[in-house]
Amino acid sequence: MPHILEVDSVQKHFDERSILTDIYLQCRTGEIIGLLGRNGSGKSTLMQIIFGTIDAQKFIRIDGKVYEAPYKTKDLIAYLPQHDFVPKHLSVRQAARLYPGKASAERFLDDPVLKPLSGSKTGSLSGGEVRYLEIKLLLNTPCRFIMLDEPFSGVSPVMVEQIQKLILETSPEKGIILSDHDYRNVLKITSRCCLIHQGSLKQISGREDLLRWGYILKA
Amino acid sequence: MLRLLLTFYRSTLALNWGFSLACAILVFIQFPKVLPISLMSSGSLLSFYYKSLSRKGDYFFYYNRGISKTQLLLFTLLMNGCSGGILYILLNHATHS
Repeated sequence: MPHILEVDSVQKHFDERSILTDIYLQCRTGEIIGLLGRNGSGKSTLMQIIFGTIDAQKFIRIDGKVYEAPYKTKDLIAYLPQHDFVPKHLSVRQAARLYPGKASAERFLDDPVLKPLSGSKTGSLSGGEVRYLEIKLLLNTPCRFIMLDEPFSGVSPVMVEQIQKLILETSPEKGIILSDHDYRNVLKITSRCCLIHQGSLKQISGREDLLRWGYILKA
Repeated sequence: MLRLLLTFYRSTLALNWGFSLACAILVFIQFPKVLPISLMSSGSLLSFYYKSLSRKGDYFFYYNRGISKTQLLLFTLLMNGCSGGILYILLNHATHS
């Protein structure tokens, strides 16, 4: 069954400074929406407002129902923060048993990247390996919507391709919102792209729009 | 959900026990009372507070499965209340007999 996430009238101020002003965003099952913006433009803040871990003036509706903090309802929405979130004392196998569940953990670990690491503590993995594990964990949850904050950050080109493959494989069943500074890789896999510019959301149809809004200098 | 709550609880135990044992050793004569009381109260809250400061990113591991910080705190207090209570009875029974 297709689902719809609507983010409406989001306003966020830090002290006197307006970070987000009247944001509207819609994401449906099967869509991959890219969220671009300069450093400090409010991408992570917007994602955490949608997730429910940052307070703001907002309306978050999922399938028409309003949620104050969507993350508190199981299997609704998941969020990949910029920093690592899997506790370092857990092994890859333990994390797989806690997230996808004991029954599907072995299938989850039957993966060229994760198989050799299954007995390792997540604290001993490289940045790229942790990122891959975390993204795969989230994409394997039954959540209707997944938000990925900088999934390609600090990840080698080969791993970026593997992460893109994971996202594309899962996208028919979920709505995905992702933000990253690597705009080329974002544009490559997204069905629609938006840019946060001076607190508001601009629709982006290609590199020309990014140039027009001053996100890049050369098209 | 219970397995995730237990995973969080286990991650608070080292600091809670370390702090509570240190408190109990400092007031040696009252050891059987201080250890369980500290485990249930100050040690429990301190370990939770420490995790909130030093490993705050870990909370997203639980948020992503629908578990809030309040639920984690309540579960930790409940588990420490039960284990501290049992320890209190056992230690005080042992010292009186």
